[in-house]
Amino acid sequence: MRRAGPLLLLLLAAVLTGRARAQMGSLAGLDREFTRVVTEVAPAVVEVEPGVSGVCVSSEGFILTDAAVALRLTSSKQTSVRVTFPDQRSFQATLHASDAATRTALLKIDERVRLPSVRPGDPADLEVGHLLMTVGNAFGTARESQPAVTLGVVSSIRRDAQGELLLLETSAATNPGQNGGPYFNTDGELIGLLHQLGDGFDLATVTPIGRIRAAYPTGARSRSVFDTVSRLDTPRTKAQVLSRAFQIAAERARPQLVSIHVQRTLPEEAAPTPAADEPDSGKEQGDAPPPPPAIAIPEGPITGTLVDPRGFVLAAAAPFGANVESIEAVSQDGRRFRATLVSRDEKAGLALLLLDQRPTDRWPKLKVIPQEQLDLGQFVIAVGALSDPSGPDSSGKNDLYATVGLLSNRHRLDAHRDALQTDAGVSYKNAGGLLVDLRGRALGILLPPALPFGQNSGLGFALPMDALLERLPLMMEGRDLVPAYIGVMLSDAPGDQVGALISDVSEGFPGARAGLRPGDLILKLDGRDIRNRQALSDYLAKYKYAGDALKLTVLRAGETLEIELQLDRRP
Amino acid sequence: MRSVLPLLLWTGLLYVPAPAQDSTRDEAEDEIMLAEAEKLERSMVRLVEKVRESTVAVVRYQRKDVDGQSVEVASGQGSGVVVSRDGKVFTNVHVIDQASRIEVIFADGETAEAELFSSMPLYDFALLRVRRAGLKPADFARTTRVEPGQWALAAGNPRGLGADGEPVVTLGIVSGLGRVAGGRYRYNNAIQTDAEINPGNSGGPLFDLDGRVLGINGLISTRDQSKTNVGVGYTIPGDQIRNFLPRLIAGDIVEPGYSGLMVLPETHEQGGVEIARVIHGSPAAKVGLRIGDRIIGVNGTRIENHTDWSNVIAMLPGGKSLSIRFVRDGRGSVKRFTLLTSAPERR
Repeated sequence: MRRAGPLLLLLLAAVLTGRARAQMGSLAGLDREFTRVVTEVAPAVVEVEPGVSGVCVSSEGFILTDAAVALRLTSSKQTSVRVTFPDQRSFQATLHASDAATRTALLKIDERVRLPSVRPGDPADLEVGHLLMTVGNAFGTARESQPAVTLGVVSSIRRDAQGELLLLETSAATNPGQNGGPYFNTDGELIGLLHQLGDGFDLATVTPIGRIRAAYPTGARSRSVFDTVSRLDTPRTKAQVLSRAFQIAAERARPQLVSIHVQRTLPEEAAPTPAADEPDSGKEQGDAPPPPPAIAIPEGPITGTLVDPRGFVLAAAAPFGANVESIEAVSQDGRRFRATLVSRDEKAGLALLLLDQRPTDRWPKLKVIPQEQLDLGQFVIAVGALSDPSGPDSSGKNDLYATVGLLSNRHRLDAHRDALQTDAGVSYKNAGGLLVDLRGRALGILLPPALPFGQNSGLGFALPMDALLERLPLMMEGRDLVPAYIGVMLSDAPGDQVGALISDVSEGFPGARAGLRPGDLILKLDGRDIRNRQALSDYLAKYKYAGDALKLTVLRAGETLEIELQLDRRP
Repeated sequence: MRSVLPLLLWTGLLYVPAPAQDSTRDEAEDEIMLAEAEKLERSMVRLVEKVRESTVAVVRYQRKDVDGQSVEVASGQGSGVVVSRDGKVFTNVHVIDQASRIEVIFADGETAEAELFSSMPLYDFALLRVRRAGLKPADFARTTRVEPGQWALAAGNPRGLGADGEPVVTLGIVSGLGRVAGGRYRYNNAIQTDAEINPGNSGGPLFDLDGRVLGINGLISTRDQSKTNVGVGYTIPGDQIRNFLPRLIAGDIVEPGYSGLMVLPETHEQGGVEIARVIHGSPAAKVGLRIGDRIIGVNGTRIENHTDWSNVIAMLPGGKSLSIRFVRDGRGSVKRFTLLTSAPERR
């Protein structure tokens, strides 16, 4: 009997750990789905020449690759290229056909061997938010081993005037060395080939397989070039569930978004390019980077979010410089509006615009989740809306734009504000747009990209919706929100004391006006204890704007005083 | 709402609104999908909470001359992971290199002074000691079982954002295995990931979906001077760290296992690698390996190219035995010996 105690404990521990495992279990299944797809498709992804990939689309040896391969073949009088599979088998392949419109070439391996191939999917099934993968040899680092696979979502879809798919844009990491690289859906079906690498602002674009198939109607003996296997009715996968959920979230945010076009009086001065196209395979070790290139303000459309039924819209502030002639906004149903600048939130880098008419009869009610109710690690979708101002499809909807990630932090003191942080890609394309949860509920407005974080770096920020709505009435009155200034110099409290010690007071500023003196020890801000001098500037940065009130609890000559003051703007 | 969503047909038809009846069915379907997705999300939230517990920020201080006075300033931000209850923290050498003082910030917001306990500069391994007990060490995953496509979470202190005791967690997948990278430090058998890794993530862990450490993030490929993540990060494999950890915990500067043989830096045209030199008196010499032998396997792993060779060898500390399959004069053979913990002193 006496031995039963420890044994029971052991048993209990085993049961408990078992349960802990089971909790993660639902995610483990997700792993298997993705590794299975990679195992299925990766053997068919070939290297055609250094830096150029291709994919075998038929067990009879048709290889789809970048058009540049065809160009080099025809200009060099070479008749064939060497194609290497990941299992290191390599074959000579001849040019079968090429197509400039889709920037692709079709090669044929003439040896009679059975080759691993992939089957084409139907990109018409794809919607913004759906997961996809690409396989390739970024920076050539996979030279003597298996190619690399990266995961992302369909971030936008471009169609022509007839509604036909032209291009997909994707957040799946794609880099120099991946030309001609294939993209797959979560069922392992080929859905397109790399069209063009991204540059920080634009993500990589993909030519959909439908267009490519149309360019190569027949192969040898007038049979289809592509292996097609009738799609099995696979049970619903977790990847499909997530794809669908991300899509639903992005769609639900859509009515809230407008695409904004700025007409300028003068051509903008040559903006610094966001990222050199020059591939730099140099690997960098850790820290102390040299100053990065500035983030260019986009020439094209940006995203805005409708935040009030009267037609108030929030957007990134930077594009509304001095030379703005007119601002046009296109709502989700294709209506066009003139917009005027009302005010700015200088801390957030956002501007409030007002449309010349009410945007809609049925105001889409903004469902807001308060900052405090968010969970670290929950899925978030960073949604934008962009439309081509000169595009033929003026009656059409705005192009939805989305990236997907996790909520990385609830309260991130980034420069001047208390922000949500996400690893979903944020750039000038979706800045001003919405960060939403799986149900499309608004968590925050995406902040414009800033240095040193860069665009689409995995370090993106959003202003929490609840805090923002609190300030909105002020902005609607035309009041700019500017950083708060108190006008005192501080040092840390001496010895073991906590608090911030005032070492100097600038005449004519809020601190002096409220009677603060050198030697005062600040103990509390709005009733909250502070530890050191840093706490004051952090607090002002996080929660205060010029014009706000601040209550200080101060220790002066052994006496505790309550001092209230009104914050000012920095001179 | 759902009724206005486009139902796009591939035949070239434009947007066709779904009939009202379908929309209710779609909405019900959506709800089922969302409920399932939220189940996955709840697991993810628990996982993120778990991986943050053992992730730390590492701040390097250096003495600098300011107006003729020597002042200590924070000169670098990195990350780390707790590997023992009694305060051992793993990070990269390049995070704490040349530090006059090292500070570790835990996920509970506590800050502690750290000292460099031991290191292995060649592989960018550093072990710190912090005077703090009752820590939650991370478990290491068996990286031989890692597969491309599986999901991964990077945790750390990118751009110093995690220095407030709130590690940043980013999501991605394992992109590839067996990568060789690095200049000053050698990264062998590295895991490639698209989980976002930025300057400051160095030394921080990459986790699998069970919350076990797949490895330590230390390098990224970049496309410009901004050093911004482009979805190509390199992670020191957990198995390599686990193999060397006992020696690091024993203290001192750790060297790679010593065999005494060197191979030509390129793949042999028939596959494998060719021995270029065998040091006299070394373990390899004692079993009779010779210049010109073509190595085609190590410890049961096939050696097809130079990458395979360097990846296998880098995993093995002194004391591990090595079984080398090679070809000499067209005939295959196997030799076994044990690696030394360091090269013998030169006479």
